[in-house]
Parts: sequence; C-alpha cells; structure tokens
Amino acid sequence: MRRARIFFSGFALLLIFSISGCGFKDIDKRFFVVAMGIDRGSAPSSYRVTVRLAIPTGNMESGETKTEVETMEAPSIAEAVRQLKSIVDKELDFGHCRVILFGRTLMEDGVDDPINWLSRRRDIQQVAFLGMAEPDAFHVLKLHPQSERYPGNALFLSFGSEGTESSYTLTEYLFDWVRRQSETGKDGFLPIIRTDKDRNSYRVDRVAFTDKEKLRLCLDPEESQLFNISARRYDKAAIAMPYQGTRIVFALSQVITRVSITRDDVPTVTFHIRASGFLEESPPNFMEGDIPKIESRLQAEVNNRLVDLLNKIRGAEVDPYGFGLHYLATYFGNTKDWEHWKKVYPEVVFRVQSRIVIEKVGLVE
Amino acid sequence: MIEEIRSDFIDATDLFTDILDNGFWAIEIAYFPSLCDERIKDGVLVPFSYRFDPDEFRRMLHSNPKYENADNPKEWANLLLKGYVLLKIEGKHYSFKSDRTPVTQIDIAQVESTLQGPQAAFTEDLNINMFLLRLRYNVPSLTVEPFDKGTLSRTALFVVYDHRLVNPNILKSLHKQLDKVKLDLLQSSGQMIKQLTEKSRRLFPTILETERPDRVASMLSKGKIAILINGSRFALLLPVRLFDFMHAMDDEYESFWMSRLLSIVRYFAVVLTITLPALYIAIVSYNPEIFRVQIAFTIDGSRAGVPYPSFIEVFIMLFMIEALIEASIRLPRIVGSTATTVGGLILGQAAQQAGLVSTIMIIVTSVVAISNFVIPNVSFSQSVRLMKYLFIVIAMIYGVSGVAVLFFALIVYLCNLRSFGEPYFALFTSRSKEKSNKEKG
Repeated sequence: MRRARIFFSGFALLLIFSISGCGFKDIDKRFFVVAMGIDRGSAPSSYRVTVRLAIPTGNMESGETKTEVETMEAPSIAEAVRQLKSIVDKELDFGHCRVILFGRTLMEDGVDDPINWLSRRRDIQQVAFLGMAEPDAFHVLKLHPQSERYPGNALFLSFGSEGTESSYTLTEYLFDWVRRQSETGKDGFLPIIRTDKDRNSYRVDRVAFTDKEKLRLCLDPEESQLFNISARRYDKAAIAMPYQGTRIVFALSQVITRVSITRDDVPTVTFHIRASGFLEESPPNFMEGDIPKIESRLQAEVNNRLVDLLNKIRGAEVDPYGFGLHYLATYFGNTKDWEHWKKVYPEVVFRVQSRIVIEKVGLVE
Repeated sequence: MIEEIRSDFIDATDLFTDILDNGFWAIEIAYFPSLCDERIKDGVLVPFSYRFDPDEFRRMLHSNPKYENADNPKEWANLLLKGYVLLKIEGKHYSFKSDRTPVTQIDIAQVESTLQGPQAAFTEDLNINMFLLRLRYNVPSLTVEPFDKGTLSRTALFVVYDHRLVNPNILKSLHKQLDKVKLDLLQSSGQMIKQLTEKSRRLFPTILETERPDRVASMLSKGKIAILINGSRFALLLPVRLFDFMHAMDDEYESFWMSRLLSIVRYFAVVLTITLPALYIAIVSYNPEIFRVQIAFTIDGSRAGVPYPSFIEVFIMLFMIEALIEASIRLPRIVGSTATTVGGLILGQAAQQAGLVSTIMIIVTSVVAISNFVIPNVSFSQSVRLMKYLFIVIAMIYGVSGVAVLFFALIVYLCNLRSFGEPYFALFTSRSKEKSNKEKG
C-alpha cells in the first residue's frame, strides 16, 4: 500500500515535470519590440515588416535610449517575422508592442491579412494602438525623438492618455478596430502619424477613415478635432471662431451627444450635441459681456462645420460614427433594413442641433 | 521507611535521610535538599527541636494543610521527587509540602511585544502563570484540570477553560489526545503541539502558542481551551483559526480604523511574502508583458550582467537572507549586530555590483523578508517562510499560471485543515452555533 503510494506520487511527479509552462526565457534574453510597422513590399503582394527593438540600459536618461530598427520583406508577415528572428541575437517578444502602424500604400490596398495575423498571435496585445503611417511605416519608425526616456515611449505617450492629450490625436486600439471591421453599420478610423518637418518628433493630427476594405478618406487637422469632439465626446478640445475682429476660443469641459434617426424613405439623422465650457480667449474688456449672443454664434458655427463634416464623410461612403448600426438598433434591423440603409445612405440628410453653454468666461484679473 | 526509600534511590547521593531524635521522639526524615526550600525549618525542625511539645506537634500534624498522610509506600518516590519531605512519626507516615519555587520575576513580552497593551508575559513557573491568568480572567466558572506528562520529566500542566463557554466535544477530543501523549521529556510547548496535532506534518500550525496572558484571557472568553505547561513561557490555545494567528493583541487596543488598516497591511504582506519571489521568476522568465514597459526595460537592463537564470538568482538571494535570519537568532546579542551589518552590506549593495543579482531582486528579497516579520505569530511566520519555496519551484516550471493554480490549491488546503474538529479557515464563526453546541453537550 505504502509502496504503491510512493510509486504513484513519483509517477505523478514525473508527469508534472514533463509538462511545462509557455517557454522559459529570461527577460534579458528577449528583444522587446516596442513598435511594429507593416508596409507594402517592393514585389507585388509582399509585405515589408519593420520592428523597432528596445535596447535596455541600466539607468535611463532622456534622449539616451538606444533602439534598433530592423526591416524585412517577405510574402507574408509571419514569414517576415521568422526571418527577422534570424538577424537578431535574442528572442523577439511582442508582449510590449504597443504601437502598430500600417503604411499608407498598404491601407489603400486593404489590411485584411495583417489584421488576421495580428489577431491570431497570442503575444500581440489587443490594446496596442493602431495608426496609419505617412508616407510609410518604415520612415516613421526610423525616427528617433530626442525626448524619449525609454525605447518607444514617445510613441506610446503620443497615443495613450498618460502623456500628451491632444484633441487632434485620435486613439484607436487593435481590438476596437477589429470589431469595427466586422460590425455592420460602423466603420473604422485610424490616426495618421507623420514625422515632423524637423525630423525630431511625431505628428499625429489627422484621421483616416476606412470602409470594410480599404482607405477612403483623410481629414485635415481641424476636421479631425471636430470628429474627435463629436464622435468620441472628447472634451479636452477647443472650438475657435472669429468675433468682432479677434478670435474667441471656447474650451470644452463636457460634451454630450445624442443621435436620432427618422424612419422615412430617406432618413434624417439629427445630431444633438451639448457642449459646456469656458472661454479661453475672448475680446479684451469682455467681462460678463453678451454671453447669449456668443453662445448662439458658436452654435451656428458648430452646426455649419459639423454638417459639412458629416456630409463629407457621407460622401466618402464611410460611417465611422456608426449611424447605420444606430439605425438598425433603433428599428429592429433585419437584412432588408440594412439593404435599405445602404441604398439610401448617400442621400441621408444630416441635421445638427448644438447647444453651447458658456459656464464661465475664464479667470481674468 | 528509610531502607525502603534507599532501595528505590540506590545511587541518588543527593537524597538526604536521617533519624532525628530530640530525646522524646525519634522521627525518620527523607527529602531532596535541592528540591526543597527553607520551609522545612519552620514547619518541621523548629517545632520538633527546641519548641517541642508532643500534643502541639500532633495538633500541628492534623491541622497544618501542608501535612498529609502518606501511608502508601508506592507514592513515596513520587512525592520525594516533587519536593515533598517524608516523615515517619510514631509509626505513621506523613508528607510535608516544601517544594522549592524560585522567585520568578514577571517578565515583559519578548516574542509578541505590543506598543500600548499589557507588557507582562508568562513565566516559566506554572503558579505565577496561573496568577497572571486569574488576574485577567477571574470567574468561578474557570476550570483548571491538572495533568502530568512526560515519563521522565513528569511536567505538570494545566488545562484551563471556562466551562460555561467551552465546546464539550472539543474538550473530549483534547482529553483523548492527551491520553495518547507519549513523551519522555516534556520541556517546551512546541513538543506538546506536535503530540496534540493528529497529523504532525502539517504545513500550518493548528494550535496557537502565545506568551501573552491577555491573549489567553481573551481567547478563554471566546470558549477556547488553554494549556499551561510548567517550565514553558508559552501557553497553548485551541481550537484556533488562521485569522487568530494573524491577529496581534494591538488590534484590540488600537483605534478601530488604525487596527483595521494594520490588519489589512498584514494580510497583504503575507500574500506578498509568499508569492513575490515566485512572481518575480514567473514574470521575468515567462510573461514579461505583465510589467509596465518602463519596469520591464529596467529589469532587462539590470539583469543584463547576471549570468544565471532568474530562479538561481532568487535562490542565491533567498539563501543569503535565510542564513542571515538564522544567524541573527542564534548568535549572542553582542555578535549579532556584526552579522546583520555584514549581511546587510552584502544583500544591499555588493551582490548587485558583483553582477550576481539584479537590482529589482534586492528589493524583492527585502520585501519578502520584511513582510515575513509582519506576521505576529512566530510559528505561523515560519510556515509562511516555507510556503514561498513551494511557490518558487512551481513558478520555475509553470510560470504565472502555475503560481495562480498553486495559490488556489493553498486555499483549498487551508479549507481542508481542521483544528480539533473546527474549520481552520472559517471566515467567521457564528455565536449562535457555538451556543447550540454547548447546549447539546
């Protein structure tokens, strides 16, 4: 009895030791990929994968970080990554890859295959930031900003809400984009990342819209900001307009939006937006001046600009706001409703009803 | 009588036997001078010698409670060894209680010190311990059952409980366990714990050892049973739950929020000290993406010069810290500071500069060591100290998921433990259940 017990426990131990976790590899034997870029290769239907690798040092000082950029062309991304492994001395680890960039040419062709690869790999984080690089991902990744304290951190900080929070920078996660790609009645958007003219920092102030396949529209910075405010309810933004020879800058502190869609033959989309905030810049000696007047001027301004933006987006036949999804959700959407919406979407009428509330005029001594 | 006793104690040269003759009576006397004190002089010698009066002496024999009849020769040896004086007066045998009790000062608590609570601790004298206990818990229902354990040492012990509150089933099983005790020398409460625990190879203690009379008193008021052992500074308490081991007496004396905060800190420290070295291995070697980017790169950079895999690094540091702890317990106080200084220097700086371990590992080691000392009970703290090695081994093989599964297994094991039939890991005990138990019994 006792013998059998010892035998069985020994046998169990043997079995336990023969299985193991997911690969013992010490942290210093890993090469962390901090950013990854995917471009169209020189040959047709080939990819050029660029990875930015971190070379860690014991103590980190601003501008002292070392990174290595490796690039490889192959018919598929998986093959490119395998080949990349052969030119580095440590195991590639995508666990800290927070930024994934697609080159513009690739976006124009469609990114189904890369997305497929990204969502299959276990070690690619679904919370990675996505972006479209102009002119291509390789050139953006080669940039080495002076302010970087640890490898890749300038990129992380530009996107995430830890560092700079710019109203021009939209943030899109991998998981959200994959969802938008498969969601009926809602299309994806990606921030466009460019290198700055002095080649010292990144510039993320535009947004690109895609339909389910490829790139359809790019907005300019002002429109990107308005999209950020209206679609993402981003409230660290400002709306500016000329007023009596100077400019009024209205800084938002809260944004509430609501969409209602009528069920007509050609539906009317009414976009309600309520923004409250304070004046960051106003004419001198304004004091408690004519606030209602300014509010109505601002409302008219927002209405016009937003209707223009919505029409422009509609013209490109993309739907990043998710009006189609909203329509289907409101009216028990079946396949016939969806067909109808697709047919009439280019003629949909947009109405914007904005309500601007100036809570205070700012602190002026 | 003397011959019979002498035949029992053939080689005991420290046994004193004599026949005293004051001209009227001759009495036989036998005792161990080392076990008896000066009370012999007042109790026997003075009344027998120059103040001798036969009637008064007889009266004294019957009225003084220290004199007892000892006509059974089988008990003689036992009585002598307990510090009694044996007398044979007018053909009758008497014993006179004159056991030596060294004057013991009540010491201050050393192992379980508190800031503002009572400072007194149990002594190595059973009667003083009983006094300390009665001082705090003095009700008529306090029951004291005396026992003798140890075939050679014959150590006296008291089983103390409040018979209105105690659970009779537990008392019954305690008596059963006490009957089974097989020991030659009972010298410390730790031995008793081993004897009383059914499965002696448990990973966690199921009997609480304490040197604080106030803890014993507060536990008695909850219906627990205390065992006081002669010659041991520590009392045993049973049945106990895991949470009793994590309870410092300060918790009852400090203000409400402060004591809650401190006990949360304590539990947090236990979890840290068990899992931190294992998590270090698991995260560094299996899933570095759990870290934030900055710390991943810092560890990466500081580990770059370390030649060994992470688990060897952990074992190096933990060996050093365990050796240091062991050394500082065993070493005399005067040399002790040298050991800690040297050890601290090695652990703090040199090991890292020599490229033997990474900077983060030093922090891990210190957190583990300090967190371990936060646990108020020594034997529980040692169990926890042991547990972390199990976690390290599992982390080496299975990584983060292994640590998670083992932590679950640990909780299952704790739920399975019983302390004298009572669940060890019970989060709360209902008073009503305790009462109904008592009524049934």
